[in-house]
Amino acid sequence: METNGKKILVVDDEQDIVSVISKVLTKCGYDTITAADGLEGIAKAQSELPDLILLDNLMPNMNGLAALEGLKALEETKDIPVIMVTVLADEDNVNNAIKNGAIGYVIKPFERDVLLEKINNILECKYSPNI
Amino acid sequence: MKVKQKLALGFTSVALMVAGIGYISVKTTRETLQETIGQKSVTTAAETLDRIDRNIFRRIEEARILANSLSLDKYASLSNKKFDAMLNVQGYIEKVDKNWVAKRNTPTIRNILNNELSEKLKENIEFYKQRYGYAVFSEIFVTNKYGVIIGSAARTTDYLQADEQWYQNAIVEKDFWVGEIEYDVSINSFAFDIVINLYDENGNFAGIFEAALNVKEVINIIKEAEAAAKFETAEFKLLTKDKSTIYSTEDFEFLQSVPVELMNHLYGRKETDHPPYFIAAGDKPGEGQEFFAYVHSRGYKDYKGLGWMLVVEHETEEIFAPVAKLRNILLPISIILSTTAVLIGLFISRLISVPIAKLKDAAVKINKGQLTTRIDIKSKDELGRFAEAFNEIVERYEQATSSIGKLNHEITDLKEIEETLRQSKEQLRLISETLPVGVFEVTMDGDLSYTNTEFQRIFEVTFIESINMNLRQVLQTDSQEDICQQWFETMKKQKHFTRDLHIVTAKGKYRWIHLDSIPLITDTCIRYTGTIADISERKKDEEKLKEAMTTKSEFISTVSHELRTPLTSIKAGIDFILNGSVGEINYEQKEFLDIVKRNVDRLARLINDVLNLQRLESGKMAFNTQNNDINKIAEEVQKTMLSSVKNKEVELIVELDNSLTEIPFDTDRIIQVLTNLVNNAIKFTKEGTITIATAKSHGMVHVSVRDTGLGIGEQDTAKLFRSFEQLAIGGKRKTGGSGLGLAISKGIVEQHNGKIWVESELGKGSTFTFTLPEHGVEGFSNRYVYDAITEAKNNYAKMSLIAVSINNLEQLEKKLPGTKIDTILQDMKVLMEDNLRQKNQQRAGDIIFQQDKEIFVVLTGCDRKNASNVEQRLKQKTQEFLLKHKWNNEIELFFSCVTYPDNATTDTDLIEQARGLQPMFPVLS
Repeated sequence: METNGKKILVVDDEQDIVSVISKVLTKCGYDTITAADGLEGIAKAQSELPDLILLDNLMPNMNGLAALEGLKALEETKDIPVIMVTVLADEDNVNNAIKNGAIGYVIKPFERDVLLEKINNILECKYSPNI
Repeated sequence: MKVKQKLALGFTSVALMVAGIGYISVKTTRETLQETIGQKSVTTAAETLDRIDRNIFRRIEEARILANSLSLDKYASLSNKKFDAMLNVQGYIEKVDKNWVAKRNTPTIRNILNNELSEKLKENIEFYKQRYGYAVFSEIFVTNKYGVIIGSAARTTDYLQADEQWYQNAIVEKDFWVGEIEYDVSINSFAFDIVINLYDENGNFAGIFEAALNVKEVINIIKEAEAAAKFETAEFKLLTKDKSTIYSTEDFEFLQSVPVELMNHLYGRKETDHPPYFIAAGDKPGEGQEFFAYVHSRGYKDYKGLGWMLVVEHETEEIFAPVAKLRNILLPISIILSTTAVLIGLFISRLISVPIAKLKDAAVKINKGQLTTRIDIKSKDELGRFAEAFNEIVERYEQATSSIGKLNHEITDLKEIEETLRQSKEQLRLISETLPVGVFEVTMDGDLSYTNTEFQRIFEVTFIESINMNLRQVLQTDSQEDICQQWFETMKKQKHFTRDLHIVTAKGKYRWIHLDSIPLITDTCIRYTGTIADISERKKDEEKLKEAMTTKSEFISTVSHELRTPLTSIKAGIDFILNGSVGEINYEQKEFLDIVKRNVDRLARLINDVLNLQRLESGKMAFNTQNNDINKIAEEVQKTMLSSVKNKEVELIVELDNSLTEIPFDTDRIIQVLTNLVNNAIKFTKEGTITIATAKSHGMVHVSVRDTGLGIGEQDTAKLFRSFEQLAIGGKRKTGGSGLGLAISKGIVEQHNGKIWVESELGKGSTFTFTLPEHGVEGFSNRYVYDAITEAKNNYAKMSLIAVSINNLEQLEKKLPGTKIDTILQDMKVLMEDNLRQKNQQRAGDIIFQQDKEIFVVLTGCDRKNASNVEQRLKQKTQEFLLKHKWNNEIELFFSCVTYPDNATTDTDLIEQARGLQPMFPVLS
């Protein structure tokens, strides 16, 4: 399959979700790499340097919010845009994520098109973090 | 003295005082006037006499000059030589004098009177006559050292002048001499001698030059002064040293003696006596009192004066005319004033003395034991009030007297009562011992003076132990607040104290108790009694219930979140297949997959609703309140929902009240409510109209959704807004809803301080209406504050409120869009929340909400000191935040902290103060 050269890291402890999202993204022409928790997510991000990270929040070992802080603290990963994809829908969590540098917040279960549009927008516009 | 007399006396003295003041003013005026006129008259007299003396001196000078210019000394020396040469000078002189006196015209005499010297003297007399129109010098002659005339302007009486007294007086003087005034027959006028002594070249006495000065000149000077005098009756008198009159304005005989009485006055006074004026009887019979001012001649230069005296006299009647006038005015006025004062005095004294007499009479009567006596004074002044008070006192006295009578009677029964009291006390003790609540009594210092069995059981002490304890030892709690202090303060205010406490007993056991206490005020002392109920069991149940509620809430939250995870895979998977990404699917497959997708979506919505409701109920849902136009929202919802009625015979319209202004509400939530109501209406309306209407009524904005659908039975309307209640309308349940929509709507509307209700009729349709307060800001924020205050009130605790606002909001709004400011505030709010949660676990229950560009922090159970600490911490955090984003120069934050009940006791007041509407604390930098 032809790829558009963009690499997306999907971090989620639910294997089903990881595979479904990966499939959808692959179908749309993105290269996909996956990780099962925050720690692995950070490691993958450092080694693979993806163009975008989709990050779940509730995960073992290291949750999404902590992973987000870690990613933003590391020199090589701090500029990679992160979209939180999580079941936590309350304002506190959304605000916390945005405050810690997340560029988008998608609540599970999500509409496929909504997620894709968000990804597309970010990668095309070279969206840079800004409060 | 009676009051009446005292008052009359008082007013009479006032009258006398008025008269006295009148008299004194007249007297003072008279004295002042006398002094003024006296001084003035003395000045006039002094000036006049001075002019006279100067004039005389001038004439002396002239005589001197004349003696010089005519070389009189030479003539005298020449004559002296001749006489010296004579053998019998005395004989010669006697012979010539005899002929002179006999007025014989001997050749010698003729020679003398016509010699060169005499001619010169005649010329000079003539000169003066021509110059002044009269003989200024009436007589003028020269003698040699033998005292005989050697030249004269006219024939004198004697030839030999040496035997004259004046001559003897004159030659003693070194330079000149002035003689007393005398009548000069030759000029028919008064004159006085000016004598200049002549000396030869060796300085020896050579003779004299005599010139008699006419007094007319002096008189003229006085007459001029008279003319200039102000007073018509002013009279001048020039008197000699010998008490003779030289001049007087009135008729007089020259050199007549001054009247004895006046003389005594004038001459009896020394020159040093002051003032040099006085009042005496006139110098002529028939004259009234006169005013005299006088001066003595002082001379001029080496002319020593003749001891003259110039007297200026006035008639007192004239000079004191203004005083008389004043007296004439003042006298009747003071009489009238005095009379009026006396009359008013009499009137007032009557006015006062009559009621006082009544009071006196009443007092006398009461003293005699007529206790039913009352005073009848109706006036509203002090006396009237006094009378009222008096009556009241008498009334009480009457009552007291009767009570005393009763008391006396009762005292005889005292022993009996004491016995009864002892019995009832014992009875009371027995009753209290059997009570299922602890009973205690403490002194003002907190020392326990009585406890019952239940009390002893609760605190695990014996009776003896308990009554040796202080309340402070008994009320040991695990709380940090000083319960005892609060208890004492409440008692001191004589208030009821009631509180649930978690105490530790003497044996270290924890118990929940309910303390109820009241102050007991007796005649002798203040004691406090109270009851203690062991509520440990109840508290346990409450805790359990609370725990259960929390568990339920957490359970719902967890389950909902857990449900979302599998739903995500399912939904994404179905979407993936339906999208055709994994290959073509046939119609039948698609049909089934659509059903699955629809239900997955429904499940997701249901989970959302459950979560929302749970957050609403637990108060964790945050609201973002902004002023907005509700009509605009209604139109938006109408537009969005139009697609849903596209395939139905239903019209969706709006009826808007255009007079509505912007009101505060959370836009997203209200859209959610309105959408839910419209959705319901569409669901249950087959055909007809659905109307979204807005209106205003009693400070509330009404938003209603009216349909022409199935309608709801009355028995069901109450159930509508409850959770998971879906009506089986028309016998079948409509699918698609969670049954939570209305419950959520109700929660949202109530969080806005609004109400929601339904009016419906089966078969005709329903109208769902919700209201929003026009000025929702206070009401909305009040909810959290109100709850916190209520909680504090129930626990006898405090609560604090911190308000954070942007000082320079107006300028900031010009620079940044409102949404940007909101975002910043939102970030700060999150920051504050984090801080509170991390630093202090106790603050986990606090609520932070943002409203109208302000952030409010509700600190439950937090006193002023702790609140200030929190405030400082938050201030520091926000400052760091602003600094980090380089906004510190653009955003000025204003913190204010208020505490219930220190600053205010109602939610509205507290918020107002916190918002700086009534600033109470200085702004901390």
